[in-house]
Amino acid sequence: MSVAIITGASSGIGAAVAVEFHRRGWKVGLIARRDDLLKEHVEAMGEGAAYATADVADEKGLTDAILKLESELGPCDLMFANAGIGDGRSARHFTSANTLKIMNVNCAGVIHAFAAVLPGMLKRGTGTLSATSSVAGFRGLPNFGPYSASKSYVTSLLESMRIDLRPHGVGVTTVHPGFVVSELTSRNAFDMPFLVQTDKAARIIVKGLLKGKSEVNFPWQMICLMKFVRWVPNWLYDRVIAIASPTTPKKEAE
Amino acid sequence: MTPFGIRKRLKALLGLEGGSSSAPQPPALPSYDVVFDCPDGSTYTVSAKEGDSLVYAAGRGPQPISTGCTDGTCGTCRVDVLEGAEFLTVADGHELKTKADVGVPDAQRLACQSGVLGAGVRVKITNILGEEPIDP
Repeated sequence: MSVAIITGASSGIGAAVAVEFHRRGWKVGLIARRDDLLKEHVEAMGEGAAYATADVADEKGLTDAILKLESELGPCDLMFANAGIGDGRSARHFTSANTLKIMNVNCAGVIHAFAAVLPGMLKRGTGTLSATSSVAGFRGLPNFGPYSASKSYVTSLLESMRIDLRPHGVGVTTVHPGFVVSELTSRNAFDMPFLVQTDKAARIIVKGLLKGKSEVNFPWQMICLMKFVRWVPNWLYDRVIAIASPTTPKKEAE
Repeated sequence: MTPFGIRKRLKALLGLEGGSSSAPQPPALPSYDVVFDCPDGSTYTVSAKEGDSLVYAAGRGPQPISTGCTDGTCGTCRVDVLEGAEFLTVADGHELKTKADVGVPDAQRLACQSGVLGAGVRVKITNILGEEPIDP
């Protein structure tokens, strides 16, 4: 039986992906900060599920949690580094502490998770590394600077690692969701286009991961739009996005 | 130089005119300590320049306030004002409308719309960036 370890598994995409893997007969290890929620999920799933509490920004804490889960469930076959935070904030309120807090979870969280399991995967010559990026990583979105930047980082890192690790039997999959119902998006103060339900997102992600896809992108409408927006020249992008993006604060766009 | 000042006219038309480099420098603003109480019971103090919003001030501390729009539309950044309410900018019509729309109690302020005007401000943060959101 294969083992999947998932960070950010207390709610949203992470929790739903854990349930979906478990439903498909995988052993699942859940990692997050909130002990009570993890316990609830693991008890609901029953045998073949375990959890460990850790903050992904804390390298030692996360490494210890992964080691604990591996000793309990077996070596990690698939790491889904999913934990992420972010909020809408105009660059007028830009500060180091706030930006670094997002980077420490969204970027360092992925780094620490991969660093903990990659040596084992290379030794065994098999495994999958995956992480949740976002369509926000395709271009800098207004009001979401640090979040967009952190997701661009994840996309580029995984793309590069995918090429390096392919000959060694380790697959790398980048997940680019659009808006998915979760705690993170529950704070968004705007109408989210093409919003995807959490369980549907989990099914799409797990299916893509099991197929060994290089990228799992959904919903298709949002992906088409954002991939097109990538090629729009800056002079046009800057003007159109400031008016058209749902993430632009109403007052600032005036 | 472009003939007839075309470049300048185009820039003015598109609203791209940059600020003049010879603009007079504004005088240095005074700074005031603002105390933030966090939901976990911890407290931190940040020195804020006059006019800085509470969101900006808290963003330089260990537990930034969670925001949704920073233009006073969503109500995510609401805080309880414990002390020094008179040293914050007065809530404008936009903030009052948002508070009524999203159900923010009168005693709370939207941190992104509250500028610091004096010393002695102490607020309790309700939503911390990266933590579980608390329903109003």
